[in-house]
Amino acid sequence: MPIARPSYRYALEQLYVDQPAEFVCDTIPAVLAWVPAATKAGSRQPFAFELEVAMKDRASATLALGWSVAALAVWDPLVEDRARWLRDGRSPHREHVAEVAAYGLAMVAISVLFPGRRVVAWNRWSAPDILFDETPGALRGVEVAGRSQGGRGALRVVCEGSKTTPGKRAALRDGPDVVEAYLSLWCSRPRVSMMVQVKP
Amino acid sequence: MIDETYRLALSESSKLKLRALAVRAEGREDASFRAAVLFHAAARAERRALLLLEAPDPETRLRSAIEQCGCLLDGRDPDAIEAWGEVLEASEDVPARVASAMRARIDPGFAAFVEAYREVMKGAPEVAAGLRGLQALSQAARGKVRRALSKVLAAFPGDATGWAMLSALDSAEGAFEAAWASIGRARELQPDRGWVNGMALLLVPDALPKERAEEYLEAGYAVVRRGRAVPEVCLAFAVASLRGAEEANGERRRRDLDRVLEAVAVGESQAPPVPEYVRFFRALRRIARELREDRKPGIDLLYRAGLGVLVARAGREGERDPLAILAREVGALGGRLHRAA
Repeated sequence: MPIARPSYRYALEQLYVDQPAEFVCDTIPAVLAWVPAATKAGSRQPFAFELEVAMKDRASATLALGWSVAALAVWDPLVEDRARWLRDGRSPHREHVAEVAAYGLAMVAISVLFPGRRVVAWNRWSAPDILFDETPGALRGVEVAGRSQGGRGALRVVCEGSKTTPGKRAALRDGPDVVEAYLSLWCSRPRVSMMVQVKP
Repeated sequence: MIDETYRLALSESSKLKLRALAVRAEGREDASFRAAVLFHAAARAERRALLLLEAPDPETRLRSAIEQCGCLLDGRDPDAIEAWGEVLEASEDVPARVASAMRARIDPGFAAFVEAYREVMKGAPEVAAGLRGLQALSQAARGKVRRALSKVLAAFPGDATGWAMLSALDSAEGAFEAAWASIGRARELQPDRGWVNGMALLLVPDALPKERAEEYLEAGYAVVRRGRAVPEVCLAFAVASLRGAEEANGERRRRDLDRVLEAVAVGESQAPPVPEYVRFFRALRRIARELREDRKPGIDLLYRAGLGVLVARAGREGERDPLAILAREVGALGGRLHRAA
C-alpha cells in the first residue's frame, strides 16, 4: 500500500513565533514578493511547494504556504509596502529578492522539519548561511539558495555543482568546524524545494 | 559553553546584514548608501564577536575574517582590499583544502570587487592623485577631482575615505554645510575611525552654529580628558580649540588654551612614530604658548617645528597664518596616511 505523502500547512505569520522576529522581519516582504509573482497561474493561496526531503527519518512532502497580510502587519506595519517595493522597484539589486525570500522560506522549512530549533545567526560569505548553533568549532546550520526558475534540475546543480561551478554540498562537507549541515534550496517556477542532509 | 556576549554580537551582526540586504533590494532613496552603513556596522559587530572569544580556533578566525571582509565588499568599501589581508593570514592556519572550501564564495566575490575598483579608478586618476594631497591641487584640478570622485562614490558608496575627501574639497571651497554632510556620511560608515572624527572636529567651527559647535567641542574634550582620544582626534581638537581661543578673551581663552595643551600631551603619548605627527603637535604647542603670552603666532613657528615645507608649499602669496595652514594639513593627514600608498 503506497504511503501517503505528508503535507504541511504553514501560515507565514507563525514564523514570528517559531523564529526570532528580528531575523524574520526582513525576509517576509521578499517571500510575499517572490512566491506569488513568479507564476501567472496558481497565484492564489496557499502556495504549494513540492518539498523533496533527503534526510534520515523524514519523507518528501508538500508544503502549503499561506499568510494574512493583516496578521503580518502586526509585526511589521510596512510589510505590504516593502513587498510592493521589492516587486515593482527598479533596484539594480533585485536579484537579492530571490536570495532573501529563500532565507525566509528556509526558516519555514526549519520550523516545520525541526520543530523547536531556532535560528541564532546568519552568515553571508561562508557556509552554512543560517545557523541554529553558533558554537565555535561545532557549527550546525542550513545552507540556502533560491532560483526563480529551472525547477529541480537547477536546484541539483546548486547542490552538486557543474563543470564550471562547485556545488554547495562540497563546501559544506569540507568545513571541519561544521558538525551538522543541510541544504535548503528553493525554486519559485515551478514551486519546488529540496532539503538535503549533508552532515552528519 | 559559549559566551553570551559572543552570541549577542553575532546575532547583532546577522540582523544588520539581513537588514542591509533587504534595504538594498527594496531600492528606496539612497538605498546603496543606507545599506553600506548597515554592512559596515555588521562588520564591526563581527569583529567584536571574535574579540570576545578567548582563544578562537583557526577555522573560527578564518570565518570571521571572511565575514568581515565580505561585509565591506557588500558595503562597497575599498577598505575590503585591506581586510583581505586578514583573510589570507587566517587561511595560513588551516589546511589548504579547508581554506579553499571556506573561501569558495568570497574568492570570486573579492576578485570581482577588485576588478570593478580598478576599472573605476582607471577612469578617475584625479582621485588617486587627490588622495596623495588635495592641498597641492589648483581649483581647476579640484573640480576634476570632484567630478571623478562623484563617479567613484556612485560605484562605491561605502568608501568613507571618498566621502571624507569630498568633505575636504567642499571645505577647501568654503562650502561648509556640504562638507559637514559628507563627513557625516564618512562617520556613519566608520564611526570609530579616528581620522574621520578628527576631520569632523576640524569642521566644527565653520560648519556649526556657535552654540552647537561648543557642545561638540565639549564632547570632544571629554574624550581627550579620559585619555582615550586617538592622535588624529587630539590634533583636530587642538586645532579647533585654538581657533576658538583666538576669538575668545580672559578666562575662556585660558581654558581653551589649557585644553589645547592637554590634547597635545595626550596625542603625543599615543602618536605613532611618524615625524609628521610629532611636528604637528610641536607646532600646536608653540601656537598655544604664543597665544597664552598674548602674542600673535608668526609663520616662523612652523619652520621651527620642522614644518617649513608647508610654508614653502603655500607659496610667496599664500597663507601666512600658521594655524590656518596646520588646520588644512591636519585635515588631509588622516586620509593621506590611510590610503596614500
